[in-house]
Amino acid sequence: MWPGPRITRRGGSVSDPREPLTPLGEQELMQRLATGDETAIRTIYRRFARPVFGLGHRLLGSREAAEELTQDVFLTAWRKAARFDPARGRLSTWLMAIAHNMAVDRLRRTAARTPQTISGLEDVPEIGESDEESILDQQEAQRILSVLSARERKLIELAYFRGWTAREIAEADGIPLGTVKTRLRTVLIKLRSIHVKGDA
Amino acid sequence: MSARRGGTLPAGGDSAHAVGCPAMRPDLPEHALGTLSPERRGEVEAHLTWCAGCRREARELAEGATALGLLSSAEAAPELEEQVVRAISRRRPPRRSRIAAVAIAAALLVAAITGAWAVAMRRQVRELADATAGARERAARFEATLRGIVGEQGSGRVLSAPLSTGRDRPGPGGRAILFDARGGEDWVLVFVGGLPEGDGPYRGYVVIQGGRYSLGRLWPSSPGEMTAYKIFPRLNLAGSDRILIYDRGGDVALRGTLSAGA
Repeated sequence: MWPGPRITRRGGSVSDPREPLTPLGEQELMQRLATGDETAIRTIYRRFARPVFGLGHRLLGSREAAEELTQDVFLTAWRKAARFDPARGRLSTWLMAIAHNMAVDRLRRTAARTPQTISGLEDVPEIGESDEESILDQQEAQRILSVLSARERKLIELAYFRGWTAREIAEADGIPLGTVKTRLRTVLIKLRSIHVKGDA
Repeated sequence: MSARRGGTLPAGGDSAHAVGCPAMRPDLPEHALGTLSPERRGEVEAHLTWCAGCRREARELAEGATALGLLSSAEAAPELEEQVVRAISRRRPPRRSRIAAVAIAAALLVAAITGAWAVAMRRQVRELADATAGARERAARFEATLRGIVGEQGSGRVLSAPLSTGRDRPGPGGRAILFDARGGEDWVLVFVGGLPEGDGPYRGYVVIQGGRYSLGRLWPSSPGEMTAYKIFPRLNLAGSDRILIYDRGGDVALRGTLSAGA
């Protein structure tokens, strides 16, 4: 079994999942994926399966659901590969958006949403692994989360990890809808800045 | 000569609501987080096709959301990779198109016209006409909104072209809209309905005096429908006069003559 190194934060060349991909490399990879090229399928899978699966597990709550989601995400990526446009964003952003949208859709279909105590994000990643990859993931998570206040963590927990709309958050917290939208923007811009720094 | 590649809009986007940035910006964070309704998502993405500023903002917010996605990285079961490879490898090629089925039915009709066949054909033709009319209606709403914005801002020019097969028999159709920014980013947006299901990719071109510019490969955005665009950041499309869309076999599938008329 290939160890499945983390990829997107450190990037990677087409042949080496740990080296950064250029936009041109991403485009070439997606063109090959569109044709069903097995090497391209495996390359993309090895680059992105780990974050896609982890996101699915966190949102959907079980390994089975996460595996089903992971398979569907890569199938969707293959079907839409010809539409990938590197001028509009990185491959990691495109793929993780597909994964998150699909996970949120499933969450909304299957999960009964009831107000719950917010656990916060300190426990991510939550699958109990002790290998080097997992330790690095935890360090990365802590680094990213360190830029957020407690209120911002709660906000993003609801919006990103539970799929609540801004209106639902506003109603639950009794704050104006516009305020929620402004705070969501602030959080995303903060996260982007730390993410981009981490890639640099 | 270089041009940025375009893309395909999600189906169902109501372009009539593709209004100015103040109405769109507040929803860009939720667009990045994936919590907008499908209808609102379609409206936002229609806006992003022609607004470079909001597109940049949307990209940056999406990168922030990506950072969140990476927080949950975890190891999947080893056998999942083989499952994914097998799942993609065993996909069948696209189904035979509906239009191809219609053509076969038409041939049989010539040989032996029966009442049942005639009824089936009429239904196919009606569906085709409805799909084409739907695409033209969406395009007309988008165009009207765009012309309003351009009129208010007093910059840029809108050209449009009804798209048809150019043949007498029923077939796909739609409308192309070209925005000449007069110094900014020019772009072309294409709405088509009534395409053969499972068909594509198509290739589009803007014909201009002395040559043509490629719209790239165009894929249906949902069965039978295509809403696609391309931005030309460094080209001036002011002299464009026609739109041509070729099918996978290299034949002209749709054509239209651009004009400035509303």
